[in-house]
Amino acid sequence: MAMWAIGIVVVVVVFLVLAKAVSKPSTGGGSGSNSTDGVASADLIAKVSTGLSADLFNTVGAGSANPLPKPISGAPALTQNGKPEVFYAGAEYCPYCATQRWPMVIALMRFGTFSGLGTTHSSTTDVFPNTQTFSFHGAAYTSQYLNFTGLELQSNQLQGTAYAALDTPTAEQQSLISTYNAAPYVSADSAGAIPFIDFGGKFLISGSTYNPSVLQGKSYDQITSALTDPTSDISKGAIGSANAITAAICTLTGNQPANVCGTDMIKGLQAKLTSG
Amino acid sequence: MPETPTANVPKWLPLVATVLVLAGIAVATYLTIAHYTTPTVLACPDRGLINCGKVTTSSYSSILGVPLALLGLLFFIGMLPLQLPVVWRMKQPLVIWGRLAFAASGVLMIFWLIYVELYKLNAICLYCTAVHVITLGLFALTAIGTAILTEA
Repeated sequence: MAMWAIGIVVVVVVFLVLAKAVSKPSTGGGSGSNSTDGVASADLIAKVSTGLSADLFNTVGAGSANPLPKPISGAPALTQNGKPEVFYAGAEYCPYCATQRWPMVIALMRFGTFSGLGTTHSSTTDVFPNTQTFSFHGAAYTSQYLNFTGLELQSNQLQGTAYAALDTPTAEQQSLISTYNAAPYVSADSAGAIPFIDFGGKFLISGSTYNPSVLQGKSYDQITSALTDPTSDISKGAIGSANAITAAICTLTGNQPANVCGTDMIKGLQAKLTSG
Repeated sequence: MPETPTANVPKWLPLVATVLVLAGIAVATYLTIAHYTTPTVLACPDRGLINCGKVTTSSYSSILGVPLALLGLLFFIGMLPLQLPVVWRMKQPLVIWGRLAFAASGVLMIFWLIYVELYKLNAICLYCTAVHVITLGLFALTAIGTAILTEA
């Protein structure tokens, strides 16, 4: 009996290791790639979606979000398949991108769902090192209200003196970045900075909209726990920014869905956004 | 009602098992401290397949808010009295089968953790691997000891 039990355990362990050894590397979703740390667990996904209550969003409001998404005029509407498009360009090594992905994911989760959303961390040698975060590399987003494209242009792994290239923008996406991540749409100082986020050709974000230092040294558990406390700096920053992003997206979706866009808090933020 | 066993396990078995449990407590304590302080205390490479920080700071490093390192520590602390020589001499079926079930629960957790490391995170934590080996060794000893006690 004992030998059978031990044998079964050994077979299972050997099977897990051998199956991994002979399997082909995955091309998306982070698992198996040399970029993201892995795929976000269902527990983590739940904590940044269903784990955040409507009361929490309303209590935090704009929180410490600053700057808010900047309205732009004169740009053509950014759409895909008849739906407004939210376009994000960042990089896994970038600490400001690491900071901004939290509110991006939280806000986008209110309009749809992710699959293959990765987890990663910012560079261990840059400012705000090793900030725990998500990665859009290999992730897919589904929503009846909008499309989302997230590009991680570089990984957090050095190849020589530069971070390894990851997602390659199409010519159209590169043109979008070159045109709108430059003056006069963003300040000359932040031209070319990442993260760069275009909300349907109506609003832009360049950089992070709250202080990256609030996430410093924090684990996923500590961050997600702090998110639910509206008095915490993390909640004020990430939930506040998520609300500002939600308000921008609601402008694109004709204020749909009503349970997300119909609150006085979101309407108030929309008024703030459009007043510049 | 099962018949009460009369055989005894060899003297070396509880001693080896107790040493393994103490080693498990030491490694799990180290991982728990690293979890609550900073993963940088882990003396482990952070590039390529071997990457302790990537595993111990991942979103899989806790279940319902409880760090897996702490669960591992509690597992070994719970296992310590069960593996002591004096308890191996106890012949109550509850003790014998409870010890085996507890060791088996550790193995099931190890299967999940190996799967997460290899297939979800693409990284291996050396300290976690040490815990896996210790847990598998404990199960093997417990299964052998249980067989001796119950097949006598």
